Amino acid sequence: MTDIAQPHRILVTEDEPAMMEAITTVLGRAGFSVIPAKDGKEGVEFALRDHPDCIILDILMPNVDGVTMMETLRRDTWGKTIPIIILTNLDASDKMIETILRNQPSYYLIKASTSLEDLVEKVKNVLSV
Amino acid sequence: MIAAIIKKISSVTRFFLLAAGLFGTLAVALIFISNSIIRQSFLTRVKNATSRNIQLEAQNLLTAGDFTSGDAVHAKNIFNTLFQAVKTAEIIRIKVWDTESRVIFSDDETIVGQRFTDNSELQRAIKGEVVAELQSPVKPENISEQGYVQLVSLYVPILFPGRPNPGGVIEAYFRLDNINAQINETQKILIITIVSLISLSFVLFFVLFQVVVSRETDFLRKVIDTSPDLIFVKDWNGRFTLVNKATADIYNTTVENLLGKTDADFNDNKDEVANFLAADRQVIRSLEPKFIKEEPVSNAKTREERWFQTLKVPIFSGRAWQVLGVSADITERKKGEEQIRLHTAALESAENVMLITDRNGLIQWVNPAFIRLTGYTWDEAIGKTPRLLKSGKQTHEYYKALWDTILAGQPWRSEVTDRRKDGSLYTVDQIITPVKDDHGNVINFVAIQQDISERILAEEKLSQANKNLEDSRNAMANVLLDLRVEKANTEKEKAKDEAMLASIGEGLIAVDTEGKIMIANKIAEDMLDWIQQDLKGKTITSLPLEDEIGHPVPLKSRPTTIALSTSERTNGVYYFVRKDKTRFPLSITVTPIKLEGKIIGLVEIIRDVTREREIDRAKSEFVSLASHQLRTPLSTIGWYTEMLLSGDGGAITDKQKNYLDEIYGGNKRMVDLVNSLLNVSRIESGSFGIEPSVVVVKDVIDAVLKDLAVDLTSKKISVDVVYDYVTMISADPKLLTMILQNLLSNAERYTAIGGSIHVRVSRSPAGILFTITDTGIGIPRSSQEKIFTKMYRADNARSMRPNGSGLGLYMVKSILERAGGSIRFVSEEGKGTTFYVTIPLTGMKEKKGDKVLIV
Repeated sequence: MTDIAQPHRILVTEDEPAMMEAITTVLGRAGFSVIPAKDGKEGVEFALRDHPDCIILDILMPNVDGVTMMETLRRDTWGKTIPIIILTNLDASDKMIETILRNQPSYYLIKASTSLEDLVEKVKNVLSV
Repeated sequence: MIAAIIKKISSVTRFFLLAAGLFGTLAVALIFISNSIIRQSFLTRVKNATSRNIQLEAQNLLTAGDFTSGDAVHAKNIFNTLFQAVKTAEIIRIKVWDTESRVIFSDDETIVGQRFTDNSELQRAIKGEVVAELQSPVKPENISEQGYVQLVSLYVPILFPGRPNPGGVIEAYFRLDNINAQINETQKILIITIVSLISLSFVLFFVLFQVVVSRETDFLRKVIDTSPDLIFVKDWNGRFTLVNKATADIYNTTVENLLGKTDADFNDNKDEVANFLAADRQVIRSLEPKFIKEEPVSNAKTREERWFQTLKVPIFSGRAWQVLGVSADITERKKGEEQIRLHTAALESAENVMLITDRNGLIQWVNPAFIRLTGYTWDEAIGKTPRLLKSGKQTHEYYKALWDTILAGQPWRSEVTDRRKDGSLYTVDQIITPVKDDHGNVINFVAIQQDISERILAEEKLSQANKNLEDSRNAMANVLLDLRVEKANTEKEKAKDEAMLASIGEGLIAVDTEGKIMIANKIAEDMLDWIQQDLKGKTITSLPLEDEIGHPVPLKSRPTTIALSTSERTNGVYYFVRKDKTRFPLSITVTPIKLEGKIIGLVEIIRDVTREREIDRAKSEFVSLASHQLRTPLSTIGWYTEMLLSGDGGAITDKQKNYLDEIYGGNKRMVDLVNSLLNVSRIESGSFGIEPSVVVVKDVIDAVLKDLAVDLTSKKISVDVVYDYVTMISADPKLLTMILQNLLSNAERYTAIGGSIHVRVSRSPAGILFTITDTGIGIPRSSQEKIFTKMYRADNARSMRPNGSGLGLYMVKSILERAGGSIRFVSEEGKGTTFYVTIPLTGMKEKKGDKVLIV
């Protein structure tokens, strides 16, 4: 079917190459196509250009951080409704949490407490596959 | 002369007939009730009677007019006397027959009661005819007499007025002087008259007897009707055959109406009726009397229940056995007894000692307080006089005055020192009151005593204290004198104190009980940006304090107010607003200064905690950042191990898999530890928020159990959850999850294979109660006190599970404390543990915070 012919595309913003590789590997194995972005600046750019089906977002990143990227995308017509999964080691703390929640992420996952398997599960949930 | 006699007799006869006629029908049957005892008494009492006193008796009787029960006796006497007198004069033998040819009266005892049916003359007389029968001539009994004597039997019917047939027959048996002669008319009339007289006196006797009997029946009726006791006769079926008015009253009916009816017709209390009938029948069956000490009887009129004491005896009515009952109303007595019981109880429980003596001073009653105070038992006290307690502390004159007073009927009051059984002394305040009877005679004495040993002791102490005070006063005067000398020195000391105050590292303010500032040291002035002159005389409450979010602290919550009202040291952190409106956190500790237990002022130590706050925040930020930094490599390790295990790095051997599992597990524990440390840091700094919302308890528990499902299944631990009318509660879902996760995972971890876990959610007076019971290793008694301590782990837990942080229960307790809940447990080593977590019904206390805890 169309799903097989055209796999879901996931935009992953992650500044840590090791982590990017791990995420890319498991998502690829699960049949998804990954668009990697190494910071928030690339993330916004690729997202608006490629219109992926889902975005996995770190928060602490160089140049443009995850929260700013999220806010930018939400202002876009397409980006308003795109599912975003926060995947970070930063605690949902400080005032930042309010901003994040206001932008309605689908999940807020702590990397250390989330297995790759869990991550794939959550992506599938978001995409209803 | 004979004519005169006849005339007299006939007038008497007429009167008798008239008198008899007044009573109408008379049952001759009454004759039958005469018995041998009456006859015997007749015979003996008339031995010496003469016709003269017969007449006197008769006359007395007739003129008396009104008959009394004594009249019946008179009538009987008259009859007897006549009977006897007539016989002795002219007639050999007299018999009275009834209409059945039976001898009722005879001077020959042997034939009384016999029947002679073959006497044709008697039969004619019974039908109303006067018959004379000539007997065969016989030799006279007196041998000296010559020839034969002729005997005659004369039968005279007894005619009762108003009745056609005779009620009986009188037979007179006499002899004719001349055997050849016929009975002459005069003699015949005389005899008939005499016999008639006997007959009429007989009638009179029975008429009177009947009158008296009926009168006495009336009298008896009146007696039983005026009786306040219930008197009744009932047959086997419970039908009343005789009742008095009191009985009828109880059923709100009349005597006539009650006769022939049963209790059931008037009393709707089925149990009562059944009990009555059962008792009645028992009496009739056993023919034994029965005494019922108390039984309730419902009064149909007042609907009230009254209590009766009843005696039931069997009586024979002539046809069948019945039961005669007499019931006394004991309701009032019962009430009285209850009253007495109450009074007695009150007296017995009184703290005051009470005793009652008779007029001679012999003790009749004492209450338990007496026994407690004196040490004498009831038996030892009763019958003795209060001399038993004599201590010798009172004089002879004292006792004389006492007795003079109370014997004169006056109450006596005094303090008295008595001796206990064990010899020790005690002092009481005593009132002796004489009790008088209706005539004003003293019959008893009641003594009430109050133990004042304590008071005496206190008074002694007081006088000692007064003495001490006096001494102190003197001493004080001396000291004052000395003080004047010392004043110069004191001035120096004061300067030294001030210097010390000034150099204390913390702000110090002393206030009086009114809150007026007495002293403030330099640091306090600097800290508050006020100068001494401004502060002095100001009240401490006028200094502006705010809470964390900028609201002024209300007067009742200010630390000085709290310290004054509780008399306890109190402390807290507030924000102080400077004159320039800038504010800073201020830790305030207020200590009441007490002199002899009385607060004379307060000392307030203030400390600017801005710096501490900054350090706290830095620490918290550091922990937050550090945890991020720590997590990053842990995430990498975790993910890559996971990828290797999933075969992303190529096929792995079993051994390699085992090693990787170890790495993965260790990494996970490290992650958990970091999370826990982070949470602890937040809990301790109080920076975590509590955001209660409506939570479906089952959802939370199900989610927690789902996380534990793999371990629970592999250990074959059964879990059951009971929701006891609790579905939704108000709680922070994350915190609730954290609490339950910790407790349930502990239960799983420390329970052996095949064990079980029970969870119950119910309501308790304190709120929603979560009860989590496991069949695990338990908490050793020695560890129970420390189990909520941070990083503490019991030895048995440590040996079963070496990898534990010891933070779980600490966190749970900390969270609950801050959320307004509580936790406790019951545990026995080797048997299991039950944790009880209570969350207030009003839900978790909401708390603002800028951090959340990681679940």
